[in-house]
Amino acid sequence: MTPAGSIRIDLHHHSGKVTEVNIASSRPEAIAQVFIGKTPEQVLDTVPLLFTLCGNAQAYAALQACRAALGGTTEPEIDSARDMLVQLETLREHAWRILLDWPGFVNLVQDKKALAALLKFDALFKRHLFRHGEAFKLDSCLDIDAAQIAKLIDELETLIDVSIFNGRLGDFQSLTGEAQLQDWLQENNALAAKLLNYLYSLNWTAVGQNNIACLPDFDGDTLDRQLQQDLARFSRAPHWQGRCFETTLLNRQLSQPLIAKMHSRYGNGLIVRMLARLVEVALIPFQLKHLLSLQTAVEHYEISPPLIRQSLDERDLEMLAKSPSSSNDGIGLAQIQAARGLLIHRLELRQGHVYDYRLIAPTEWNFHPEGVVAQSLKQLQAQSPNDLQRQAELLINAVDPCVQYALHLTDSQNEIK
Amino acid sequence: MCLALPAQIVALDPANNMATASVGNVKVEVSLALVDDVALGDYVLVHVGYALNKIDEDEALKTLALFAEAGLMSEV
Repeated sequence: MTPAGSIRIDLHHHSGKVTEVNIASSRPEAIAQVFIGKTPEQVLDTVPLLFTLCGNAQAYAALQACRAALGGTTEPEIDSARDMLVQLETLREHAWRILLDWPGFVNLVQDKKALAALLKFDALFKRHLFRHGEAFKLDSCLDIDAAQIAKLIDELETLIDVSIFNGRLGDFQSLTGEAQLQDWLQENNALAAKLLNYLYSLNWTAVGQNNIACLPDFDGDTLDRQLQQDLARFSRAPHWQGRCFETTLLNRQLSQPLIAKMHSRYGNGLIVRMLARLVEVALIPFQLKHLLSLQTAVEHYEISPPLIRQSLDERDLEMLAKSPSSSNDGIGLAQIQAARGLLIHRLELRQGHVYDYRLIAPTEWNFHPEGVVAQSLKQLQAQSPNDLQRQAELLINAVDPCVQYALHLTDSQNEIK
Repeated sequence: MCLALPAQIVALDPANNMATASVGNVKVEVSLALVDDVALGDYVLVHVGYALNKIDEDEALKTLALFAEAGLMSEV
């Protein structure tokens, strides 16, 4: 056991039909305790040491929460550059699942070189966006080399086009319905197409479909009122108005025409989740280009910084951080769309030091004992234990916990014997 | 929660591009496929069996101290 913790998923079945699902987590709740007693500046020095995978989202959430608790105002121009870093990180996390995990489902070799190349972009983006590469400090300053960033975005787009879409990214981006999707899948050797064809061939498109809804958007005040009712319980096993909700990339992509149509047919089943990941991957280079163009427009006095947010459409905003409201009571609350869903940081300052700090990661919602993964797994019915195991692995992969997990299948028939 | 695990490389297996790394008292096998030029004694950040990047010893020790402060190193 390492300090990162893990999730254990026990799936009991009877002749391939799931009868019971138990999810237990040893994920460390105590980690936020290290922030107690620290100043906001110390918190922001500490966060990058603790978090790797969603390090940018975590650092951005901490910064937004600290800034709000200090009563500071938003910084639209700098925050827009920070949004770029979170988008880049989201792309990397999705690519991790696609390039390292998907090949195992369709008997292909992992493309570790592409992922290794992708890991190097974060430092390059930071260096060409921020002075000294420092993006998530209270005194961070922009120092944008727009030409370099534009070049990096082009390289990024080429990398995902080659490694995931086999040169057919452009065609994929124009898909708006299932008939077009099936045309695109014909004789397509892209990794993305292989996985989707695999699901179609086994008729596993709607596997795991259930009625857990996507978490609605809420403003900071409403969220804080809910949080204050029972901070400890909410941090550990969050729910909203007594119900479990899902917060994944599906929330962000439901309004895309292709995903909306697939969702109306297959609900939140397997193919919709896999497709939503691909749609988000395909969108992010566009999003980065758009955010860069707004930065350039500000630099050339074509728009003023406060208008950056207003220049983004609804689709863009669904993928970005919410602007936190400033506070005069020392409480700061931030909501960031991290790769795996909504990330919440809440802190309370007293005499300039952290008195209370809470972190609610999307995995808390999604791998809640009664949450969307548990309900998805309860729907499974397969012809063999091997198929059942494979369906469960695909579903867990599609929702994607941020820590290692162990899946244990038990045939209840054998238990009785 | 995406915690960064600093681990020290204690054995290398270049033929398989693998290494043994030590996280506190726990030994884990890690793939080196995603990092370049890793040597014995280096610290790397580890996630689900992969070394993600090299970090300097000072940063690794600071991170381990933070885990200890949070009471998470007792399990290690």
